[in-house]
Amino acid sequence: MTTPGADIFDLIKRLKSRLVEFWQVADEVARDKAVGTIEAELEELEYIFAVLVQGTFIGMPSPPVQICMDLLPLMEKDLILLLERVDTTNEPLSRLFSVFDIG
Amino acid sequence: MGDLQTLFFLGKGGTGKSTASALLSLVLMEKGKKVLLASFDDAHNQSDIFETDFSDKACTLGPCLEVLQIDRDKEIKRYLKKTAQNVKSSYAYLTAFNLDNYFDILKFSPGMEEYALVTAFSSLQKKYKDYDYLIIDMPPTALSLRFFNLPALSLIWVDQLEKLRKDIYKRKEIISKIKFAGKEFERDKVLSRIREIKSDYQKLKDIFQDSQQTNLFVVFNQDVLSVAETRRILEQLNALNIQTKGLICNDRMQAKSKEKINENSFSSIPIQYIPYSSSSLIGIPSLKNHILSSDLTFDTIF
Repeated sequence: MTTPGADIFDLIKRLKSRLVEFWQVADEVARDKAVGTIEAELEELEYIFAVLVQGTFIGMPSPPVQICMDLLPLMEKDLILLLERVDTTNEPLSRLFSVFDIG
Repeated sequence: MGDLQTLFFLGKGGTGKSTASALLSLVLMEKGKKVLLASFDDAHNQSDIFETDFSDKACTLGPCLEVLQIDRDKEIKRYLKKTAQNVKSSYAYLTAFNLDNYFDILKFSPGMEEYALVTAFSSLQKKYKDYDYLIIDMPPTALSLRFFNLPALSLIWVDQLEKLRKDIYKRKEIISKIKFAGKEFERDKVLSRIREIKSDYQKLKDIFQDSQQTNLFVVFNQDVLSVAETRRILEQLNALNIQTKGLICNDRMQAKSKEKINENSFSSIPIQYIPYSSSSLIGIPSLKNHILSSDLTFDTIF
């Protein structure tokens, strides 16, 4: 048989753990929201960088070929981003709306 | 010995860059200097002058004279092969890009020729750093100027790329601070590589602009076109902040129709005259004979 004091103590403990959990989720959401635009901006910059350096793959003017070649082995991620963008290039407005969470 | 000095011979096609560089190589060899004569010109004139088939492996022609011929195509192929290997070893999704076919075409890209020469120059500088002189017989004007312009032009691009990459890095840092409480994130290898490339081109640019270790000689003949082109070469080198150490006037025609050189048109750059030779300057004995008979010392410019 448990004492009434122990019940209250257990309740407070559970409440505290719930509050901590809630706080953690809220914090994570807030942090995600805070950097959402910066992340989108970062992706855009990485895309611009990829187009600038490896634009020759898609027929864009590019830096002297040796600079592209020197950076190519380190740019796998950027090239994948470049190829992924091919699918969404036709919908720049919908991308912008999703970045700003409109609609 | 040591403290390698680089001597470039450039000028309009057919003015005698190869002959002048061969003559100076022999003059320096006679003085006991350790010399490497490297031909960057696809015309393979040094092979004809010394009557020896040169390749990219140095061939010994005298007690302290070696000659080699740079093979531009080979340099380009070697570079592209190395890049392709690096790509293959670092990419997980190689099949996504049909790079092999792409690399086959790249050797015809504009800019590859001068880059191959720059690569060859850098490796010669390292390999022969204990020599006294590295004499380079350059290809005709257009390619030579692109060669000298390459570091400066590349630096303009590299600076912009570095700026953009820094912006990317800054944003990654902000995201890491907010989202992951500043936990360390992956070092940007691209930014590090850009900085390495920048440092390499800066060094090369400094070497070209350093008149203590780089000496440029422009070879010309006494005809209107040659003199006009020489003037343009000097202007372009000047724009790149590269000094011309001397001019070499190669007397190829004993004719009366020689263009009178207006000394003022070349400002204060000293001129060395190579007198006319009635016999063809082919083979070491013939070259040495011309040096002796015309008392050629290159003292005016060097």
